[in-house]
Amino acid sequence: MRVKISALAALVAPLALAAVYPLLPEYQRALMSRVLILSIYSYGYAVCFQMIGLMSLGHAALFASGMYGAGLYAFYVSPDPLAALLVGVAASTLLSILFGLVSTRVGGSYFMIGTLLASQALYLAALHFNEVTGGEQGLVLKKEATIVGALGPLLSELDARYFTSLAALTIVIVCVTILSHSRLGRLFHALRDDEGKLEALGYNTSALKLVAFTISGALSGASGALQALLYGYIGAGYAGILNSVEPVLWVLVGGPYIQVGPLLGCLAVNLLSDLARGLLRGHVLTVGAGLVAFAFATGRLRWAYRLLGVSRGRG
Amino acid sequence: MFPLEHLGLALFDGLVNGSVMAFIALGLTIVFGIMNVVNLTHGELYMLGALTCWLLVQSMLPYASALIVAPLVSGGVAVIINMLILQRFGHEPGQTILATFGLLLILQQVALAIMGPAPRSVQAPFNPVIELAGFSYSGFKLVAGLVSISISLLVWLVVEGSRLGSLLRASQENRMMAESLGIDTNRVFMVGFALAGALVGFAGALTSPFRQIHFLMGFDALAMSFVVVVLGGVGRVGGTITAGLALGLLESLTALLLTPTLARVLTVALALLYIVARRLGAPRGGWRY
Amino acid sequence: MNRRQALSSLLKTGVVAAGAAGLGSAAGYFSARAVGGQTTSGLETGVRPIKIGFQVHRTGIGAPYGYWYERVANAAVNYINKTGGIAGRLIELIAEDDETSPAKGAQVVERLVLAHNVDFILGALFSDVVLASGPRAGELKRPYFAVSEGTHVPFGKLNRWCFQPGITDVPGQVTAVAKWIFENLGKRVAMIYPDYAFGHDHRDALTKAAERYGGRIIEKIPIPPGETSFTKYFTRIPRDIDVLYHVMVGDVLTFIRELGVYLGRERPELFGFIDSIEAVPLSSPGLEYLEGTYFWEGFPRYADGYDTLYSRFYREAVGVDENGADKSDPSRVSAFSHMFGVWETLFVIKEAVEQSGYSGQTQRDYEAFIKTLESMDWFNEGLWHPQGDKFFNGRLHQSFGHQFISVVRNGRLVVVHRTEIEDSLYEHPNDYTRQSLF
Repeated sequence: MRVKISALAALVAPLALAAVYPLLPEYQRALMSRVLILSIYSYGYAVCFQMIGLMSLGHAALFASGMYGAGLYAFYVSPDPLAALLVGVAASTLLSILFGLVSTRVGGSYFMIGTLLASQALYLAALHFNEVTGGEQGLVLKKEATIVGALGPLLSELDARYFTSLAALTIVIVCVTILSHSRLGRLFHALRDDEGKLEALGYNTSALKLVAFTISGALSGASGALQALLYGYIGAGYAGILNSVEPVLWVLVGGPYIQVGPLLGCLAVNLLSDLARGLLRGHVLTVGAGLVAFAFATGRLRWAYRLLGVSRGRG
Repeated sequence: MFPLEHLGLALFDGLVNGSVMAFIALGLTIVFGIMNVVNLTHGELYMLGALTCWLLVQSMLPYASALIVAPLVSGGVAVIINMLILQRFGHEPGQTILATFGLLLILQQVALAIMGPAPRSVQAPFNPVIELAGFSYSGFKLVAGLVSISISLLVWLVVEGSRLGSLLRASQENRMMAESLGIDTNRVFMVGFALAGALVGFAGALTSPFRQIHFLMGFDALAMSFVVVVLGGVGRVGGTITAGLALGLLESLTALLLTPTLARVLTVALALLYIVARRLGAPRGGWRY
Repeated sequence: MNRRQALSSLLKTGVVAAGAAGLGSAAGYFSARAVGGQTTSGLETGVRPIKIGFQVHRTGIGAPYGYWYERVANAAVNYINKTGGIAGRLIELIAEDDETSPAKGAQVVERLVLAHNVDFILGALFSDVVLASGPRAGELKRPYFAVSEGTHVPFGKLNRWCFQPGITDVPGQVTAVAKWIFENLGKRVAMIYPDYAFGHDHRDALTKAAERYGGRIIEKIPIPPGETSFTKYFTRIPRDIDVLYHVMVGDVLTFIRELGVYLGRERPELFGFIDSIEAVPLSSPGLEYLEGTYFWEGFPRYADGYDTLYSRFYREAVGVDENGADKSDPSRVSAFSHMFGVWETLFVIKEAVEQSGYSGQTQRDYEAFIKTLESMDWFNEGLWHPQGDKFFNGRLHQSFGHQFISVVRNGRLVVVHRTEIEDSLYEHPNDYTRQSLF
């Protein structure tokens, strides 16, 4: 029953987001566009963290690979946003397979640090090959190479960003909802809850983990590619470790239902921190206090205990 | 061509840096490795140690006083965090990550308010330049390296050899069982937090005379500590020490040969391969990609 | 530079007019209530204040600069509001923290324009923040003023709405001081710089200048970001160089201490960019090693380095003592070589608004504002430009000015040379004026 409700909520969410748009003031429209793109990243992260119980600290690299794939293609090869988007997703998929082949072989803390190291290597490489990537300073795409530019004749910049990211998010929500109800999704859950049993039943758990990690990485990369193509800027800052930690917070705040949790968590954290920015001078302090308070307020994070508890033992 | 004439310096500097890295990571080995608490404030406790040192030296107190006060401050803050917050939800991982990340931001902002945004430094109490085989080295840094490695070895002996280590492990592995055996697990955790905080606070004061003090210094220390702890094998104090030394040496030696950033990339990649290679040990299903 | 005399004699009527406006009757009324950037009392006179959004590094890695940028901005706004505002209108300064992050920076631009409806944006220092913010400003059609010294504005990476009139850029600075370095310190140079865009700008500019002045870059040592121990990289410093050029931002105190131990007394000449020790007292333990070494300064930290009526007034207005530190806390050293850019930029905005007759956020007003600014070519030294006169290239949207070279003597920076504007000029094909505005 619960599952059905959360699936329903997942399908209603995009409609609600579309319906609320005309009511929002201009700035909130712009803000929401940013958050919607990040929500895709949040879903991507949740597929790995929530579905199979692997906590990655290197997803920033996967996000950034999508961003660089799309951005560099649009910058150097051809100003075609659609092709660039595909290149971005392809780049992040390839990289996640590569990352996954190495890091899903280890569990728990070793997975955390393995992914952290891999993403650190990518970050440093992006800085070092500054002549190509623009390094930490980044590159600015020409307007015609962005989705906003391509939609220019039809939609205003604000509308183009909001509805492109909403459309992409809707596809992601539908896919994740279907995935969570599919046989594969159930296998993922089983993998999270008791890997040993699944293995005993003859399943190839290593391959399952790799599949989940790759889906997760492809979604994260799609988010990065959209970020590049909607805002026309790519930079190594997005590959930094902080960008790997943020989705952990979103998913934890979002709660246990993967169909809507990643969206809710991402919305809550980002909108509240923006609200704090408007109200108070020391908003970083406020965000910190908010996270502590939230940790207190919720007992619903028990599911995470299972995740980390299970993955820890295997170490 | 291998720059042989610099090999001595590279090895020496690598060992000193490695000892210091291991020492900074030591507290995390206890809290995260043994007690399995994902404490993201570890780096900030390090920063607090350094901040305390700077404050004391600013107020004309001798540097040595910092070596006593900084561990008290960091250890105290660790205990308070544990008592007021983490213990309340039984160190449940999800809540712990959220709360300690929040605390990390708060502690950074507090430090920003106290010492301002600019980097600060502390004068070393003594700092003869020592002439070694073909190169010169900071006397204080050498002493700091020696102190780091000595205390690390001492902690290793204590944790592995005394009742404390087994109490910490037992309380983490099966709380109910431990309590039914009459162990006050809350108190055991408290001791663990106090020890870890004090160690990293001491490290903060110890490294102040040769590293700059800055409100954002904790995050890099945290990431580095996690890497060292995991490289050494989670929960193994001896492993942490070895991993710190190995990483220090690796960084130094690769820097001799390659462009610095590529050297770092190589170091990171080697560390990653090592983790995977070590953990590969016979998975039940075998590798069947 | 014959143009120069001709042009500087063409004192902008606006300069004179605005100076006179300061004496106007409005001034007395406003001065009583103008407090920092917070005032909105312009509304009481029935005139909407001019809103200037300010993207500031309050937290994050740029915080040492952000603190002083904000202080200078408040001081300048305070002064302008006391002396008649901009074209008789008060300035309302709206500052927002960008956390020194490109993503947050772009978001702040949206906030400033869409939520606060500012007229202009005073931008950031860190290049990545500027580069992520500039396109958003161009899209939202608000002039964006970087105070960054990056190459993003002059090299055409941004758009026609982005300017950098208040501070010189890295290639300009390096080109100017390189001549002096090669002529006075020696031809054989090794460089230590951070391995990202800022460091690479230095590397490229110095390499180019070396060709021009017959110098040689013997070794380039890029340092990865976040490094806390440097000795291992020093082994790459060749023994037979004349000059070690360092522009290490990051863990600079450690860097200098370890360099001191490694090189010892028999060292080459050291030439550094003050960026590494900006906002850091020279009396910090470990910096004794810098005694006798040279630095580029944008505006001399110690008052006697460039003692003019205007620089004294500016120092007083921002509350900095003659050692370049906070008047109420001598241990808090200012970012003196950069923060003047905020002061001067605000006066450039004032000048351009007053000359162009900008009155509201219409297409016509912005067009007039930008074209007026692009047509300016000199900013004259004065209360508005205390660092010195500047040549403004309207095609590049970038200022070129004097640079200072100082030596550390008795724990103070002593100016030994002030470069000419001509020394810092370079060619670049960029031309923003060809881009369409709307």
